[in-house]
Amino acid sequence: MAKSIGITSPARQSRLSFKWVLIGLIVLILAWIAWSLSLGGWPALLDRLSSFTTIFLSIFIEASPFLLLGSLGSGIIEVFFADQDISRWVPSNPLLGALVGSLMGLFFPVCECGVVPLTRRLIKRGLPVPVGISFLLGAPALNPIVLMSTVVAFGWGPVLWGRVGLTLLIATITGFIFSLQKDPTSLLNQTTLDFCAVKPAPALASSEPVRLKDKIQQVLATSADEFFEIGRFLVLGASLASLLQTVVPQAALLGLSQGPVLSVLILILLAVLLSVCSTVDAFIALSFAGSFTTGSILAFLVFGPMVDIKSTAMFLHVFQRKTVVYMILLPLFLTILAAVFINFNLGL
Amino acid sequence: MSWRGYRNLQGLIMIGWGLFLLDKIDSGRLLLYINRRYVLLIALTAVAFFAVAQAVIGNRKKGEHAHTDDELSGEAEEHQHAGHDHRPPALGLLVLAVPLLLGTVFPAKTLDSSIVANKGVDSRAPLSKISNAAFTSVSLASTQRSVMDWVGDFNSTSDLSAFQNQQADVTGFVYHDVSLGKNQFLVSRFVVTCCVADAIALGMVVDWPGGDKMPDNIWVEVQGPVYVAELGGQKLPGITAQSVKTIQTPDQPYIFP
Repeated sequence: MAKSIGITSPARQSRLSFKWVLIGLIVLILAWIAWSLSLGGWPALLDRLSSFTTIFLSIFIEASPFLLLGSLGSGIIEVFFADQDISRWVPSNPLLGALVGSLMGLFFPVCECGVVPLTRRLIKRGLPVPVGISFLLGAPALNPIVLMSTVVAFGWGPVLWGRVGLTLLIATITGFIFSLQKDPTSLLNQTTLDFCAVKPAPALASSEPVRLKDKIQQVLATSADEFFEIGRFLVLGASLASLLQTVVPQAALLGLSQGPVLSVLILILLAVLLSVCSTVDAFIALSFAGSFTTGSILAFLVFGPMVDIKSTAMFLHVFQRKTVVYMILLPLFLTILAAVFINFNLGL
Repeated sequence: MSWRGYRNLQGLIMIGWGLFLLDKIDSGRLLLYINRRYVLLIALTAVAFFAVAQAVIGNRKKGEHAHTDDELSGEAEEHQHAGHDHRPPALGLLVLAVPLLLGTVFPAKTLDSSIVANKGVDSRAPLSKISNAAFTSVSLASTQRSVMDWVGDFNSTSDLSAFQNQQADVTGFVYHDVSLGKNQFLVSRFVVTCCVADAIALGMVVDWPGGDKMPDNIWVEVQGPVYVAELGGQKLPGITAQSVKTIQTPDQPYIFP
């Protein structure tokens, strides 16, 4: 399998995504600096710059434990699991496979920062790509920690079940749609393909006993690479999110809270903008509970963990740009559809 | 750059992050970035950074992208497929070192009225049932309640007359919303649920002679009876101030629900 991946992939497309994102970000920052200068000169710029740095660092600091955890998980899978272990669990039926993928978060409790390195590693270890996409979209909401915080915030009510049901539905449908692609490896980015083509070192592949201490060191070293590789995308995503926070007037956004459709769109936009970690988004959503429709709160809790600015940047490292576009648009349309339907038809 | 040098720099940056986090915890400035309940998690993260760093320092193993390990050299032709180079990804080092530098150079800024102007004043308090089950601040003595408690009380009760004329004693920074009247300002606090990125500004309307002339961002302690005020069509707690004292910016400017 490894070999065929290497040959069928379009060469040289690999390094572009990171550079493009970086270049785009630098252009945006320059525009932002010019705009701040035109508004209030140097003092305004410095003020905005320190707000930007503070918000950026707060997102990075908050996300780093989870990214590190995901990287360590990825290292553990690399060192301690054999290829067959993972593919054995997954049913060959694409729909069932997608369903299993979206539920895998119950066993790998990760939020949207940790899930990216883990998914890539699982794909390397033989997890079918569409199942990996279902996992990527489902796991940040459908895992024990996040479900617990949702229960604490909203109780055992319609918001909890709505969140579970809609996330399951949307992650499964999206994964299933991707499974219709004849050559699933074409969904992946070149860097991922290269990564998947690497064979485990002979020492590991053989049954030779390796000391546990060495294995642990190997887990740590693997997770360092993982952290640096995915971490750069976290840095880009977090800077874009904090840049937007200093520009987009949230006050005006939240003022438009009425309406069964508009409220959904606004909270989706806010979820993307805030890039809140899925482990706590229920508490943030709770503050909207009084004045926003139930459908829109569900949209915040379902779409937010799947897609936000920082996770999108990290997706770009694993998947083709085209794949990422569909990974965002499919859940977006499905979420809007479901949330608006709930607002119109179910008096929750 | 050699792989060995790359590995050492990786290790150094991770040690740098670990020390940075520990220093922020030690100085208490971590709370200018994130909610208090994550401090332990961040301390563990610093330890994990050190553990990972010791595994890469002095290690000269190539990364998984540059798969020309000596052991695999027999399969060299397979590794030429993508035509990419096998140098270590040094750009990634730079990207992860920049925020560390920024954080060291720029001190954390306490969010102030310039951010409120963008985020707006919220009339809804984020309720956390973790800290106070079913929002029980009503059981607190009225002078013990924070800005968040008052706004939360106003959210959770439909009959606001009970709060009328209760004595309030709150601290916060001064902010002037455009829809305020003459002699009014808002005594405001930021509520941070997770990290500063999700901060929400809450405020109480204060009636005080010359209140509209008070400079933004100074910290004040306001005492006086509460009344039901309105701001932009929303009901907010207001204070008919009997005293407004300027105070030092508190060490902990944010409220953690």
